[in-house]
Amino acid sequence: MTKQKIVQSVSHKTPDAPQASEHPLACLPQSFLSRGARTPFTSKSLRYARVAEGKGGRAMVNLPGLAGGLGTYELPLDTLREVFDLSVHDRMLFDRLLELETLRPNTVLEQARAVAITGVGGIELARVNNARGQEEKSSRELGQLAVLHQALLQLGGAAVQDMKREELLTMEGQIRARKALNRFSSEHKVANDTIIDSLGEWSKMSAPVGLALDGCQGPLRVLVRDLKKFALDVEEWSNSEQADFRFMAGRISSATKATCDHAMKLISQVDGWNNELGKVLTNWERAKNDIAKMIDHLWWLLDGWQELIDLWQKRPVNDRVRQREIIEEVASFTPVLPIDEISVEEQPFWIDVRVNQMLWAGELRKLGSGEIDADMVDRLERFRRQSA
Amino acid sequence: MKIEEAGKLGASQLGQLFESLSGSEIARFTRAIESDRVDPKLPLPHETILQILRPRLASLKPERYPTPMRQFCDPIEDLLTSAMPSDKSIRISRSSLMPIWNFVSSAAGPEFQKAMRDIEVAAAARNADKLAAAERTLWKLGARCIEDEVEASHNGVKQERALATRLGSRLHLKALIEMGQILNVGEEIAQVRDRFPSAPIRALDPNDVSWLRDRFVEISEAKPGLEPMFLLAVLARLLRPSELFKLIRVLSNKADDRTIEKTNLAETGDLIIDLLAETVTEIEEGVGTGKDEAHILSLARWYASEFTRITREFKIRKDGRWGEKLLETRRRVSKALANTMFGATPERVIDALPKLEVRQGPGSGAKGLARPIFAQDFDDEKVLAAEKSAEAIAETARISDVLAAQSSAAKAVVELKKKLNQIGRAGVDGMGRLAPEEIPVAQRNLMATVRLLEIVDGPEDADVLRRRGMSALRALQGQKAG
Repeated sequence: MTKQKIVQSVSHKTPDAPQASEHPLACLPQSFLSRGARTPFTSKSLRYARVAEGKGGRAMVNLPGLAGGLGTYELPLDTLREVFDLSVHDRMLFDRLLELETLRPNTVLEQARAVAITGVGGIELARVNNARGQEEKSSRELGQLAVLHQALLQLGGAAVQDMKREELLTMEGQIRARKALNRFSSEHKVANDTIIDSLGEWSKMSAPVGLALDGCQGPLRVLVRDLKKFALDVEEWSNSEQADFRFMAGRISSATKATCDHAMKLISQVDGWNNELGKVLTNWERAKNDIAKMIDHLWWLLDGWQELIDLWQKRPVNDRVRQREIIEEVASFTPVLPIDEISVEEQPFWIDVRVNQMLWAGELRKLGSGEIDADMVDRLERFRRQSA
Repeated sequence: MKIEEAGKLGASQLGQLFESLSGSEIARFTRAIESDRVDPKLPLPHETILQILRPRLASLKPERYPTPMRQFCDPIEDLLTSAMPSDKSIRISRSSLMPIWNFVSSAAGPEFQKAMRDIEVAAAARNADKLAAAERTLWKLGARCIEDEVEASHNGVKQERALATRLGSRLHLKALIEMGQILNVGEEIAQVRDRFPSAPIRALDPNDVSWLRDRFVEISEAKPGLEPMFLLAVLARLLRPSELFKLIRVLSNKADDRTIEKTNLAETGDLIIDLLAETVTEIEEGVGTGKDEAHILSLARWYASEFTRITREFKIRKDGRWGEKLLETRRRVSKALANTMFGATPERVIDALPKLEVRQGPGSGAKGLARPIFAQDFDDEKVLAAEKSAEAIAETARISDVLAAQSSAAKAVVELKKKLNQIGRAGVDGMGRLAPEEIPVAQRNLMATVRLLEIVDGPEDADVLRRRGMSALRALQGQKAG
């Protein structure tokens, strides 16, 4: 099959293939909202599933490459129990998702984590989620103090330039800090208490990115750092591979770097605000609005990458065959950026990534992963007929 | 860094330096060191440097500088092993390479020496065509030399001993003979490597099979008797030995293995089954040395899929040449699994959960009732190990028909389900008597039981247990709050 034919045959939304647009861009999701939020179900058939808000606000679940198929299956979320034999973990997550008002990466992640730490999906899953939760909590707490300290250095004048972050934990330090911020508060006609409250709120809102200081890096900043390393690792790994895997790994590496570039722009904007906390305080409404948008954008942008990095990091050191299988899987399920996010110049690259993903999904089927049984095919077909 | 400076650094400094270099820098550096080793222009400890680089090179696998020895050994690369191969193994030990190379390069005569020099010149000039021509000469002359020497050693014990002495050890004799035979089809192996550059080959499609058939036919016309060596080399490059049966089926006009002994393919089929038998030995050894179930499971899974593929490709009869051997391997697997996976392992799973019989005493519930079992300590390390064991049991049970282990598998699974259900029921029944501070540990015990039950029995009953348990806990929390 030629690339053009694949593009034509696969819309981002199968199973209605005949309605698929013939434009190459049709293979990319229109927006992050339509790409959906990654939902870590543990049932094999639901791997790499995403939930999204469909037409009329109905929650949908997108299943890419189901059973090695081309394109993405889209089902109403509430039909999931009827079609698939869900694991107990997935039943718990499913119940929580149905209750969610907004399906966004951070809200889905929060629910997924709450389910995982019960241990219902196994000890390993619980441990990873517990550890990540702990790390985020400690970076958030330390970050709060660090934001206050930064504000003090930026706005408190020469008298407090020698103050250490730890001093803010003491009563004496807090009094000194308040005094130092008095000048700024009277100059800008903002109550000192309001400044402290706003900085507290700011640090909470920006916590997913955090500060570029040791121990204060939020999960999104850490993820971008890990993505950079991942791109280099995969590139290095591919050096000794033959053309087919080198090509595949090259696509992963380029897609990772491209995603990183988008993320870095947003992170520097967050850092820009953090470097001018005076502006944050004096333009509080605008800053609040801005940071909320940037953090939300970053959640969407980086959604789905963590598990690919985890998969790669867990690769067996000496088993080249397994390493290739992992590369194949990562390449097939690399999150593609939606049309809304990319420039016209970037479009050919992402179309190419997506079209190749469809070819690779077929290879994965040959390997026997993502298989579905005849019974499930039947149920899916029945669902299609009903919804037609 | 300049290559000249490498000689001035100590081993640990070099190690640190290499850590900091990127993959492509390492590849360039290695090439420079290997190129200088052939024709030294710098006073460098080449071997020491390469030794330090080796672990990194093993994962990077950069293209290596062509040296006469490396090119000479190319056709057997897929057969190499770092362990000492058994008598029946088709593998060649890496430790035999240097003795064989030293022996052949000194015994093969001036033409061989010229081919070696040609390789060095072609490598320095990066001339791939000349390199290919020179290595073909090297294989041909090397094969002839080995054949002559081996032939001469058959003249008497004294001659045989003399050959072993020249090789340095009798251990390398088998490898020498095998290498001689392989080198005879070195050219054809090079063609295979060109067609399938990524080793191991994951699968042979119909085009691949017909291409290999054509090479096989060419060899049987030009070099009769060497076909099995060619198949051996292909076999060594395959991820799954059973894939070769696709070729055997095309080459053989026999419908089953009863009459296969009359064909020249019998030997190759034997080799494949011998390879499968090696997996069985590994399973038995794994059982003997108490390796974890996950390891045994991966071997059993591999065995089962190979067994299925072979029997799907070719009609294997119980009384056929391969049938008997194959069924014998299955008997061995079945026995090994009955003893371990389905014998001792279920106990290990149960052992990680709260005990049903609990002694009454201080801390037990009021009015002489036993302490609720889900209040017992939760050991996540033990539960993790139990999850892995349960996964191994469940998955082995799923393939037990192929392994002829249905009865022991069914018995183990039924027993395990029964015990898990007992624990789950007793745990939930006792929840009403939990103290508030015991609720978190009870929930962890509940979820561990749910998870293990799901692994062996699927999600339905496990989910019922989870719902019952969670609603009991909620009721309890409501009561305490009220």
